[in-house]
Amino acid sequence: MKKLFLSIILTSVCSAQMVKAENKAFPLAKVFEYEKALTEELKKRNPSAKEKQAIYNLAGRELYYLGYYDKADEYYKKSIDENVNVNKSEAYVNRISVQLIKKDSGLLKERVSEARKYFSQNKKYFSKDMEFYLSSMDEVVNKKVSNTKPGLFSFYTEQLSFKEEVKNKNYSELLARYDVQKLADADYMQNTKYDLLHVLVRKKMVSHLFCVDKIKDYRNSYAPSVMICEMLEDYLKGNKISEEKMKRLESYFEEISDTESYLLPAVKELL
Amino acid sequence: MRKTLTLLAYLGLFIFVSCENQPGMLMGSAFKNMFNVTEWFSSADKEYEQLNKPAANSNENLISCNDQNGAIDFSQFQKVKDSLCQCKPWGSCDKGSCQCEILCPLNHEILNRNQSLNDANVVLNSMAFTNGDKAFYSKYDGYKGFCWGHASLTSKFNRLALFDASKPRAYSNPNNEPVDIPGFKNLYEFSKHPEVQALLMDKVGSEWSKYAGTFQGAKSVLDNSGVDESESRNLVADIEERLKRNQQPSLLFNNKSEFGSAHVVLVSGVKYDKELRKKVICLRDNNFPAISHMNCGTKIAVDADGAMNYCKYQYDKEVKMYRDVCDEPVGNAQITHNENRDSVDQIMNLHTKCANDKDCPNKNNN
Repeated sequence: MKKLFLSIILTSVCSAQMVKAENKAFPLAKVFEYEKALTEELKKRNPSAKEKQAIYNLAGRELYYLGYYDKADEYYKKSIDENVNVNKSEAYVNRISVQLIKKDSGLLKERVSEARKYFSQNKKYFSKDMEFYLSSMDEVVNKKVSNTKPGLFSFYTEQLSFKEEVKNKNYSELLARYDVQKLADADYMQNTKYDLLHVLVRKKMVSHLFCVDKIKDYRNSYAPSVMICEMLEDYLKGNKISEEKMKRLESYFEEISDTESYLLPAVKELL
Repeated sequence: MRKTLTLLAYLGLFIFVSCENQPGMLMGSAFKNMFNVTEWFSSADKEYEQLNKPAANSNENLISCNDQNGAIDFSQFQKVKDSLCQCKPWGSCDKGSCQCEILCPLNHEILNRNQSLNDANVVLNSMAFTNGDKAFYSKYDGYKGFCWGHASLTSKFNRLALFDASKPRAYSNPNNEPVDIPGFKNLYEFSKHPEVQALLMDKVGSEWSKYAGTFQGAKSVLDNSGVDESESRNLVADIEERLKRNQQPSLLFNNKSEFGSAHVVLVSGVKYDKELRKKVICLRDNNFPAISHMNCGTKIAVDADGAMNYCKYQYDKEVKMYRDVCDEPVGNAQITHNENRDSVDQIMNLHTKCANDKDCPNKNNN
């Protein structure tokens, strides 16, 4: 049923699992070793709160760069908890970044709120870039795009917003934003998404599917762009979309990647 | 060596902590200055310098595996040549014929795996999809997408992937470690397959999240104060040095006129452009198909006073011809904050793989 010729190594795809992936050049065992040494050294030297804040911040940074995001979060939290009046922007921002990587929208909202509270109490550290960053993060949290804010996170927020619009069935609005002339240069999924929206809006009046040309050499591939495109073809030919094909698509989202799974309810409208 | 380097970084912290109360103030102030140099300093920056000190002579001379004495019979030269092996990083010699320090160096030389990252192969070494979603987000042409992730992932494949079309197909992707990609000839063929492309796009997004959302990322993206002559000169020199070290580094630059707009690309070269009459940094710009990267198709032009402009080779309606249009002033340009960390880890992991393959000592275990 699943004509998957590729054996997938899931740990390299799922971003949540990426958080746990070990850095082979600097294994976790080494991290624990140095953590132990650091703890012992801190006990021995008994540094001031300011010095400890700096050390914890640097440790958080090192761990972040090594890819140990949970540990980085732990040390950035320790740095924040030191009762000293210094610029803690890095700790607050990188704790937000950890939740972006983990795609935990609940904790992301919490971290953004914590950062806002910090900067409201420490206005001297609330620089122009931090203000821009936090307002971008507000958009990410609310999944609402500002039409005036370019760059940095705007693509990310627009993707989140696209998903919300699909969930809310605003298909016509989304369709109107496409530049059809650019589809020829666009990848498989962009073409398939356009075609799906087009069919959802105009139903069997659609005469041409852009995705068909794109996928012609990869028929029956186990990729959502191909599977959805083939279902759209069936629909336009007047054929019922088979349950088997739908189950195959569902399996993909369950077992391989759920990034485009928000399209599933929309596809099911064609059944 | 690795243990020593990282321990040095941590020891630096202790000395920084204690510099006001302890002897060894000189060393303490050196570390203190080191930490004050840049907000985004990490031990990787120092490790990168250590690993990229001038390398031992990488001798590409052919060496006879048979350790022949006496003069070579030139009439049999071809036969002799066929029996010779290559004594260079990843060379065909074994450790009996060539030193392990040359075969599997623990420095930037290990990145030279004969991948041929030149113009002729740029399409084959690039992703089959560009950055962003142009058809939908077309109003932000040029500065939209997960460019940081696209550049980072392309670089990792170029440095670490071992393609082998002769084997059954399977998917994998490098995470700063060398990885086998069986069943495909090159990155372009690999990333063209829709099953692979879907997964790579996920990975591009997650790579972007790691780097762009950080304090360090935000600072570099949002600093568009402009580049002066000495900063510009230092950047170009740094890039040229990295290119000599078999690296096509990732570069972040932003739009001086639009706060918050930034782009990350790979750099493929630096040259003097005769038409523009200035030095240019050649880009592998993921906003455009790889074929446009040939002949320095997209670039950053550097003025004599250090000012930089992002140039695109495009149709100019006014003069009715294709030409370089350099009309986007760059606010800030720098090597991305993750480049050193990633390079250090890649060098170490490549060395480990080479040492295992060649039965050489793994210096990472020292």
